[in-house]
Amino acid sequence: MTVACMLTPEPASAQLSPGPLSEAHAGLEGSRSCLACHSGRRGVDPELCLECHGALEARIQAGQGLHAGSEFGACERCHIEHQGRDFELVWWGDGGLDGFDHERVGHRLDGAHAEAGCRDCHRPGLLSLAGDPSALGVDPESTFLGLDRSCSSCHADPHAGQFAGRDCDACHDSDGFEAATGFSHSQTRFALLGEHADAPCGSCHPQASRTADDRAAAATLVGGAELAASRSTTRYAGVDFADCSSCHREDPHQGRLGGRCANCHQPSGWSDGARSGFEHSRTGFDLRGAHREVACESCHGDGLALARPPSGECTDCHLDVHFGAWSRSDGASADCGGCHRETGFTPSTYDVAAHAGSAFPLTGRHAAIACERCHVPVPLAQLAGAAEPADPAGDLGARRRARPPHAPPPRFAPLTTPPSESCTSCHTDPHRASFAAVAEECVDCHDTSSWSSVGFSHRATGFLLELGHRGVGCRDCHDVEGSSQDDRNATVDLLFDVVSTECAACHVDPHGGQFAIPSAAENGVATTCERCHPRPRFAPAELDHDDARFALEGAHAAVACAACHPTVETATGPRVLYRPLPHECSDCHDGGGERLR
Amino acid sequence: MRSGGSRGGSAHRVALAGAYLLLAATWAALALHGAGYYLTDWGERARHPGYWDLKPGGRLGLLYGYIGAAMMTVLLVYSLRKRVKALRRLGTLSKWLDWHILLGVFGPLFVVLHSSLKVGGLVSIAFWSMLTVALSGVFGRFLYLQIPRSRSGQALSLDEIEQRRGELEAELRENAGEPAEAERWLAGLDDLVERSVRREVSLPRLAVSLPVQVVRSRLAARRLTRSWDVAPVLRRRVARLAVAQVALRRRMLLLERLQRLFFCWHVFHKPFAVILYCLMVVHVAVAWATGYRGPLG
Repeated sequence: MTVACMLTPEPASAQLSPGPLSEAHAGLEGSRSCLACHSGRRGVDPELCLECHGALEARIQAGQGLHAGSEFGACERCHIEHQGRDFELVWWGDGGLDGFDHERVGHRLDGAHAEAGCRDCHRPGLLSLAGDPSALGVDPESTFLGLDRSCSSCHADPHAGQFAGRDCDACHDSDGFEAATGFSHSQTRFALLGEHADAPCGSCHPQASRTADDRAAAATLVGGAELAASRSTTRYAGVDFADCSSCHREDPHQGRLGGRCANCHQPSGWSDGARSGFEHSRTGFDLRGAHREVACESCHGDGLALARPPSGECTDCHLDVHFGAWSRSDGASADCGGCHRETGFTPSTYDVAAHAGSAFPLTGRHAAIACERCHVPVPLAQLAGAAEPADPAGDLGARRRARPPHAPPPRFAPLTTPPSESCTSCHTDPHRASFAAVAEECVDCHDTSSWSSVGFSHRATGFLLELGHRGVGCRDCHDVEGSSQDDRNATVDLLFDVVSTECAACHVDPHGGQFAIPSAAENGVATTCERCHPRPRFAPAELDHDDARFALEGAHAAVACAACHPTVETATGPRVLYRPLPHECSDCHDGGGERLR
Repeated sequence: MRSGGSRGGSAHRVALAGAYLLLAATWAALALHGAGYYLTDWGERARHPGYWDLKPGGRLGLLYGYIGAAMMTVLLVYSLRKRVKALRRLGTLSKWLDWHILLGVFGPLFVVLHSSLKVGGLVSIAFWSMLTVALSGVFGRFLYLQIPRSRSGQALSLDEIEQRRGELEAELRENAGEPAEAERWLAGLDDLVERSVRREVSLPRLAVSLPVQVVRSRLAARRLTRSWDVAPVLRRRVARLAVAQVALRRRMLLLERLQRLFFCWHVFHKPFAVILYCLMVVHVAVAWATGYRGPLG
């Protein structure tokens, strides 16, 4: 066996080696090269290793990279040799190369870097070695040395050198280029305020052309293929921002308001900015109430072409929904503020108290009813004193006509003059003038507290209602011929016809005309009902039969009335017969003095 | 004087047995400790957690190498003992041989741990030379015992052997009781030796067949004594005397052949030992030159 070992085919020079070297060090095979790596003092001597691996030595001396760590002082601890040609000289641990913790080299991979493959960065095109790779002991295809940590050493510069000398990570993080999470426009000389913050970058930052050299330099870098094909880049540096017009090139005011936009406008918005930035009070017209909510163009026209409304009156902008009804007698516009506030057209400040100053103070129930109950819409032509408002000159007039008032359109045309003192100018006369003979105005009988509160005195008619008539309903006497019971019950249709003071005008003669004295009526002599039914009760009185043609004397006084005044059947029913009666004795008595009939 | 020598021999045996036990236990424990590494495929060993300790140039591996080398260096003192007269006062040669063998057994075993069972190149020559020397040492020890020796380990002369044989025969006759019975025993033993010993073979065949002859003749002698009419209390003593008688007779018959074989063994054992030690020196020198000095570095 020993002899067999001695006859091994390996060259004698290899007999001292504990095993074949790796492929990378195959050139050092042989006993003459032992001391190329080994020294008697340190075994596998790192200083000897670095004599060949010069690039690594430079990094170690500079304190850079994995090998600069104190725990990596012994090369052989990681790069185990004499294990054969195929042995992996670089041991990446159980996780292999993909499991290598890049933070150990002092450069933690996060974001998109963590997702990249090793050779996406560690490739020949990105190396920046300080010398010839072979002289430095570096194989560009397999080395992990030679990368610069600066972003630009791997990544093509999308900004084409606009930010040369600045750190990319001041704006960008490793999650992706597009986000620019570290960038804040407030750190620049032009902080983005208001709507500027929502504006696309490209609206202010124009495209700038890329030079051919720049594109060629980017071609070999990460992301360089796309950039090499792009002939332009967004221009971020050197954008003029001294004036608003640097970006806002179109002046809506067409230069009429000067070039100092910021005097009126704020970055928060064109309109909002103007409102907040421009003190309208400086014009002498302080914006209050609803005026603050109105777009400037509502008064100043599109593009604010009209710098100042002509007269300063409300009607410069507002359509006079009263059609000049409140214009003063001298022709001046009405004082709208007397009834309306700037908080809105409605509600009006013209209240019941203000109405008291009019010719028609609102009292009683008038104070509680809606204005529209009296001020009902009427055709313009019917309004006394109403006139079409003067047509304002210029654009404002046309705009005003075209634009409906911002307040709700009036549902009624207000009365331009005080209503007639006659109640019937508003109220329908339920009596249909039937009181015209006894009352000049409604208020003679009614007041504004209630319709049912009636102050009428029948005495004014010349027919005092005495006791007998007080319990009688008005309608029992004042009934319109032909009216129905429903009409009579309707409170809105209270008709009172003119009634004669004669009893027969209301009362049915129960005596069937036995006491009619036609001749008396013709001669102006009153009917004689009251002879038997005297005032004030009109109850049947005790008849003094002596006043009759036949005085009751003697036994006649004790005879029952019906003995002489029988009830007889007539065409209109049974009736007591008072007259004519016979007056002769024989008309009643026979010869014996007995009552015959 | 004799009793003093007996006490010294007993102490030697105890010390020797203790040393064997201690070293065997230590070696077994170390082998067990590194078994996971030693049983790992060679290609995977570099990734094994015990690599940096147990590889030949590792912390423990180098220590094992130093221990083994030290043992194998110290055992050379035995050769000095044999050659330097001044050392004869320091114990008998057989005791020196015992320690020589002890170190010759465990030295290579520690070197085996040092090698982690991975040898190649020049080291492999040293390694296999070492194993060859060690195994030949075991055979040499066997041959050593086949040549009749005094208590001091010196080979007996033929007359001294005859004298020893006479002593054994006298003891057997004492135990046989009847002279006729004693003669029958001795005749039977002589016949057994004549039949079991093959003197006319070549030395290599003798070397190969000798262990078999030894075992077979011992077994045959024991069987033969079972047919003898011996009091039970004497049977074990008689058997031992019979085995010793057979062995002595065999050794007398083979004495010349054994002496020649032993001479040849020296020729085989020593050159490999020389090779071993030369390569060991080279190996250690290279290791030191390349920085693997371990605890001595």
